[in-house]
Amino acid sequence: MTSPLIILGVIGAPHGVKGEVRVKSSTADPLAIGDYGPVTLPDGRRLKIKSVRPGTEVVIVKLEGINDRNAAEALKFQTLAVPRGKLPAPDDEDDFYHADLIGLRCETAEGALVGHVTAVHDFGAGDILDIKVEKGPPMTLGFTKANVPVVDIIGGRLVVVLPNVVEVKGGE
Amino acid sequence: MPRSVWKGPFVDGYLLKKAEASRASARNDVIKIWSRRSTILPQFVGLKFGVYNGTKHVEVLVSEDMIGHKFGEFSPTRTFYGHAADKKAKRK
Repeated sequence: MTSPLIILGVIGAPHGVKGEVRVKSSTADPLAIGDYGPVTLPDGRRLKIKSVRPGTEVVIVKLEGINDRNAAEALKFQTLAVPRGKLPAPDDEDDFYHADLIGLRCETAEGALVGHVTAVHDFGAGDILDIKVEKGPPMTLGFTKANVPVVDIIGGRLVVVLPNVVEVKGGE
Repeated sequence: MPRSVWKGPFVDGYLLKKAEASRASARNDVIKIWSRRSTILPQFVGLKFGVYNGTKHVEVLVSEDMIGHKFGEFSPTRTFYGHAADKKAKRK
């Protein structure tokens, strides 16, 4: 079974005349885009990253085999991806890659389907799972042991404990 | 111009009452609120709020570092999804 591809960034405009490109990096540390080995383009080509340096809001990347501006121009808007297997295992048992969590089924302890994880956010109050509920409006759930006691990535499911909700509106 | 100190921080009154009731009951409920303008006070630390962002209630577990900020700061009304890449989430 092939490992799914994880997109690390998107190529933008060429930078200079020596084949460098500007890349909008999606990695936690933008300069880490070159840490996971050769990157795969949408057409299936695999290219080594020769150098990465910081730019203004982007990183400047030199790809192997791209040596002039015209070649760099041809890569505009292409995504850079690596197989999921290239990412190292998380250091802590409670650390999970967003890519692993997105798409998991959310079930109650009894096995009833709640919905699917669509995104993981951190707005400053801890990690939050964005869940598309099967029947009803979308919901968010704090990614805590109390709310999510079981994370079964191989089984493709999360066990969630839905908290009690109290509504407070003006004038109450 | 900042808010005058003599007025004290702004909090919707009904929110204060509900938070006190929730703390007294010692239940770990999520308090759904629409008041994004209210300041986070020390008595809210440890409580869970669901702060409305126009489409859904975003869960906010209040910690000491949030005191003095507004609830709305932790529930953005516009969300950028982007690519997951190598980002990690920590289960606390």
